[in-house]
Amino acid sequence: MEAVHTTDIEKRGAITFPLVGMLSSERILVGIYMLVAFAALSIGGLLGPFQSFRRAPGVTELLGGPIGMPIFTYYYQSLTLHGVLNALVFTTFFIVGLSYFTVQRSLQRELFSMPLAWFTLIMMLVGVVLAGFAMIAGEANVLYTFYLPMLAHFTFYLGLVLIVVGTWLVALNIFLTYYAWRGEHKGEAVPLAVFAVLANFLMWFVATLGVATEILTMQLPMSLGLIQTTDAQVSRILFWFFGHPLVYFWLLPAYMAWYTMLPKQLGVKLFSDNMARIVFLMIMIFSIPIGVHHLFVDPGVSEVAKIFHSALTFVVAIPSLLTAFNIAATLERAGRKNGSKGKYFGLDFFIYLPWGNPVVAAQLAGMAIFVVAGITGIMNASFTFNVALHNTSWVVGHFHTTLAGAVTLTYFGIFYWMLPMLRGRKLFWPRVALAQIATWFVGMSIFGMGMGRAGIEGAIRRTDMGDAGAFMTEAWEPWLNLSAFGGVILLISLVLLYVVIVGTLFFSREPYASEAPIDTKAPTEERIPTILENWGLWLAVIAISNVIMWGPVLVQALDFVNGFWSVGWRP
Amino acid sequence: MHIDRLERNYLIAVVITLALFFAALVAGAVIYGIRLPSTDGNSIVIPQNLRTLPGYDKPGLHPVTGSDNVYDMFIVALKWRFDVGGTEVGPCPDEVELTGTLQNPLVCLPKGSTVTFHVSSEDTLHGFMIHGHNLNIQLVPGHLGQQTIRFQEEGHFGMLCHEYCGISHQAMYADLIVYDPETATFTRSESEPVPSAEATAEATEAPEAEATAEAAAQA
Repeated sequence: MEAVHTTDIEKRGAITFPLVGMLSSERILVGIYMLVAFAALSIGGLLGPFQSFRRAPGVTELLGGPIGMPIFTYYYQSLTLHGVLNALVFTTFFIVGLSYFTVQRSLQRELFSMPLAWFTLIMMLVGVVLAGFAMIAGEANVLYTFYLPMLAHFTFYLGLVLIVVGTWLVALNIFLTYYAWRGEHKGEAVPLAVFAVLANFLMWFVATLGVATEILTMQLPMSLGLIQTTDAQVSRILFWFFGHPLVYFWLLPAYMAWYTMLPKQLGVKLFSDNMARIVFLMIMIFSIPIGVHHLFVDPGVSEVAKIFHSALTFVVAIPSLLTAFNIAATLERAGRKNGSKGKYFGLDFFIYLPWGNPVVAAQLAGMAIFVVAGITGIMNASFTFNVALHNTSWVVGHFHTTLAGAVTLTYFGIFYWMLPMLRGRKLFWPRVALAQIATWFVGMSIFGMGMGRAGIEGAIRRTDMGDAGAFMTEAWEPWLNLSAFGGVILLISLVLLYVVIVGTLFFSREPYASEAPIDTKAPTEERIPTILENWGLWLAVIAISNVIMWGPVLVQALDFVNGFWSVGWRP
Repeated sequence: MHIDRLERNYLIAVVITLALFFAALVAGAVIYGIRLPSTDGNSIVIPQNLRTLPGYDKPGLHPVTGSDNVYDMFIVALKWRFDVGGTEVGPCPDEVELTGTLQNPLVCLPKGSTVTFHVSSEDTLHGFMIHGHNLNIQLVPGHLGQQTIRFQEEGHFGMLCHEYCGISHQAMYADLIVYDPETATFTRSESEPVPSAEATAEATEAPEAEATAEAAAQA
């Protein structure tokens, strides 16, 4: 490994990271986060296709009976593991690992406190073990939304609390690193990637206050037997204060990759750095005061709040549509560089992109599926649709195109350069990696289509339809069968993923010698307004907007006389 | 701050498009009267006392006096069934097979009827939706869900619990038949079999008790 040398004695935290290798502290810290993330996905992802098989009447007919769940016999236990491992553990660990890497590399300095970083890592790992224990033992069949008054074993909640508090310490460490850098770089704009990480963790910190309040005042004391009754509506409100920014917490690192890493991988400059910063700020501010769109059919929330949150949900579509413009313009530059002549209404640049590179192909596939994800998202925000589609498999189709589609495909793209860098060996079988991405894209598109159409026909989500007592109509059948077909392709994709990971870790021999796609300076051509980095101001804006948008909703639901009478029970 | 001219035009187009979408939404609500269940007129109740409230004390179909073909339907959701006041709520015309059970009751309504559904849960979180209709309520214990719809087409529809509520969630549904009152004939006895109080109490304990409860109900 190349030597670490301090560039300036006065700049104590500043170090130069090797271009093509990694520092050992960086390798271990980022490596553990990344590998835990993909270990979680390997298990959580595997359970998914079997759930789609069990819900498909065609598969039941073929096998002469409903298919059983692998390892975990109970459908809802399997579903809980699928949700928690994929949507909470995989994403959170991946994002923390990537954010640490990006911040250290971009600012060319170590984290503010490495001891804090190690402590945080241990805390989060303990959290995963505790929550995992409860779920595997079958003591937490509450799905990943853990709605009250249904209860899990207290280790489940304790584990989640440790993971969430761990992410607060991550946010603290990242912000302290940033402010240390800021003290030495007066008047300089922070690189865009770090700007994205800061916006993401500021949003995450505010959002998790909701779920932390929920777990610490309701679920955890109740599971410990300290209180006997609770209020389901208040808990749902607190959960969805957190639940919508959660999806943007997953998405922003993918945006960061598209904005800052993909242009470097394509050898071009981003179309507009400033607009990218506006996008990150808009998402940070507007992703929280819109969460009532998950509560459109809750009787405990007023119609006025629903209409206002619905309107603001349309506002949060603006930064994503701006992203579409900025990234498409950047891709066009790359296409023209590679020989595109602007044929077919100027759209032929798409053909000239390096599709053979799994890192690039994964991100492009993620963008393609995000078009569907965005459109279905705008439909979900429309309460007139929501009355027909709430809690149907349509919703599942939508968020499998966002999280399991756009976000996860982009994470694959990141992992396919990060893993070789961590291991110091080239990606094993790039063609298998390409096939993995292609099958994931096709499989998730088919699955999303099947689930979406079944939902329009009224198929409900989160339901064990393989059970003999379950309701089933003919209108659902072709679409549930289609989603199972998507599941088959996704299962193949997962096997290919395992081959690439195990191959790169243990069987790849050629040394890896590519640079990390990280900028260490903000572009100098554009003047970047300093107000964009006024985090205190943005925090105040977030606080005020949420007091206005969520305050009345919470106050209306809080009733300490007639409320809080729901008795907790263990499913 | 510099914004490229094309990007500025694009931004304006985006804002106009989204504003149009929202306007369409408001128009849909105003013109077609698509409403959301909400707190309007409801206060928070103690879920264990749900069956003492007027209407919920006698779940089932209640014709609204003075109006033709207008009903109030009170439903209590519990683990794991909808209590609609009996195994068959109707009356159901002759061509409809009486398949209702305590676990999965059968509801028959004439085409053209307007029904206000009053649905609430007395134990845990449930959901309530009717296929093919704009009716979808999250049943949050302590809150009374209310939504009105008009049945304009004949058919067989599912009334489903759409929120995971435990081991038998998938079995929690009722069947809804909307029949044409012009052609329907009623030669069967119109008296509905209503389960005895003990049978209802037994059935709330566990789905296994269903068979016994049914037997008791028919006895």
